[in-house]
Amino acid sequence: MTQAEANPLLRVTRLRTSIATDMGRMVVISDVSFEVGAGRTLCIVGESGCGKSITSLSIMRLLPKPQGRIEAGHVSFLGRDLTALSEREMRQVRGRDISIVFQEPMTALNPVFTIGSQLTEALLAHERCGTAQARARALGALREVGIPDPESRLDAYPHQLSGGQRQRVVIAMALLCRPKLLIADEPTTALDVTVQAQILELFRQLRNSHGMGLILITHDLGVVAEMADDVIVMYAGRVVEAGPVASIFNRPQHPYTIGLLGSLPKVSERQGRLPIVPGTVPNLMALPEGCGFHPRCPLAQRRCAVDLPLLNAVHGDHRAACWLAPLD
Amino acid sequence: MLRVVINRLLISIPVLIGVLFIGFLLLIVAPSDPAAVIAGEGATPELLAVLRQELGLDRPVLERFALYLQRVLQGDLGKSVINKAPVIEELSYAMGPTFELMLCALLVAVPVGIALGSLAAVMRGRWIDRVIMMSSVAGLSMPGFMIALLAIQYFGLHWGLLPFQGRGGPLWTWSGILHMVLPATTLGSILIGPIARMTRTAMLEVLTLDYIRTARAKGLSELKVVLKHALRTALPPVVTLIGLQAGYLLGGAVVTETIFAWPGVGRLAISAIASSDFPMAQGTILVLAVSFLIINLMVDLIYCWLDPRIRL
Repeated sequence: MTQAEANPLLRVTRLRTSIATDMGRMVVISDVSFEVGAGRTLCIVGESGCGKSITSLSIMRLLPKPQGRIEAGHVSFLGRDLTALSEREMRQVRGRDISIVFQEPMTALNPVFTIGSQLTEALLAHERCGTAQARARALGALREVGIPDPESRLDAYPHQLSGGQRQRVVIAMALLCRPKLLIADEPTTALDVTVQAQILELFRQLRNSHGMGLILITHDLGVVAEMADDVIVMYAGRVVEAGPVASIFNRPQHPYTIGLLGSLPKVSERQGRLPIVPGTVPNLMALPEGCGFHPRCPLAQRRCAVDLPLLNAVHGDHRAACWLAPLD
Repeated sequence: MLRVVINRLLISIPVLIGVLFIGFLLLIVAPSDPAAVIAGEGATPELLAVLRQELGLDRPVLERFALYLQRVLQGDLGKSVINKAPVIEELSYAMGPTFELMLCALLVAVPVGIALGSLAAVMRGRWIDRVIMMSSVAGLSMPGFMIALLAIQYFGLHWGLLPFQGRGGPLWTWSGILHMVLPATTLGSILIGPIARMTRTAMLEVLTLDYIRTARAKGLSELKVVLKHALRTALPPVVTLIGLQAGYLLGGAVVTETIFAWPGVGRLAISAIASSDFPMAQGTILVLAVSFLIINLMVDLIYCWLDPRIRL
């Protein structure tokens, strides 16, 4: 066991979260467990609505109030259980120890305050420093994410910036206090490819120089291949496959993962139509019995419709929740 | 910013002329004859005819309006029919107390209304939210004079806590403040209910927005999230509402001034109308219209300051 494994930055254990809806309380993620070590990158992949974003909101305890609730499980950050912290203690973790970048760049910034004031506010919430110093650091952060003409941008309002620039401001804001863990929910979706490469490079640098842990939520498998150390694949609120990136890409075990990887266009082969995973994500209020994926699964057997498969080791750290695994 | 001010001022000119015209017409269609009022009972028809000619009442309506407009532009609002004093002089004594009263009413209503509305939004669905919303409906449904009479009955007569007759002097004196309490809270209470409800609605909407989540994710305290990030963006509709309610405030001022014997424009208007003192009534209408325009200009400026996206 390496040191990182013995004392991970973040360890999520059997997390279950529910959201109250008009039709009753709905469990949106259940039995989610994973670890992120310092300087490591974990990618969470899956279709929209599979619980990726709810997982990150649960870690930050930013679930919509009063609808969202953590029902069970633990989130341990450097040995401290975040689910047991008071709101005041949790506030000190947010933005300083763990930062989050949300995926909506157009609406993530308050329209009535300048970029500069929103950036320095994040800094002043956690550190004692003068206004001039805070401004200088905000300027540095804007430079880091490659915003052109950062001096004038500090006094601009969000509506004066493009979507891509706003997203970079949000990223700069998250990195301002040099967090130990960054959760980035589709951080580069709004950006064009060159800027995306620049941001990913920045993440990589911070990971290497500061040992920042990174949770990257994405459905861009190209980004996964480039950035991830470990991957978890989520489906209908559960982790269906988890493991080191190479193992997941080379020997995917769960039919859903195989389907996802099959949808990835390859340069080497000329395909007519891209293969798709047939069917749609199930309604969480009416999840099927047994394995949540069985109605869409090309390999489903009778047992899959009755019993829920749990994550089982396939080889090494590679685990899959499928009755058919290992599929070798 | 300057362009907004100039624009608004230019728009105000036709509005003012319209107001003057309506005020002018109202007194023409009113059943009482100013000449008869001046001449007193038992005047001969000859005397009335002479008086009418003197007052210009025999000329065509539009011509009379043009003459009136010309005089108003020169700052001459005519003389009171009753006591022969220049209207502008009487108004200048009355304007101060009225503005003072309205300002104090706003100072009561705006902070209290916004605080109650924000509290209700943050405590949504709990008992405190229900109590605030129910009492705001009660406040909305109760006419201003009713509140005034109840306040006089209990705080004034029954418990003898506060004076309720007239103005006690300038606001920097103790007596001035004491005399202001009941009229200002009565007048302000008309606005507390609507402001609280609008603040709550706007706040509930803003609190679900993404940038509120961003603010929380930075590790800001809930107080800062609500008072800085949410309230600032929830305020524009509340400010608009205050502008729209300014009419009620002016109407309320007329009632409040009459009940509390407040020496302001509202009381002057009532007594002028009651005694068919038409130059005075027109003068008070002009003052009330100008204050409505000023309040709305202020609302527009505050709006610009609150939301940088509409700054020009």
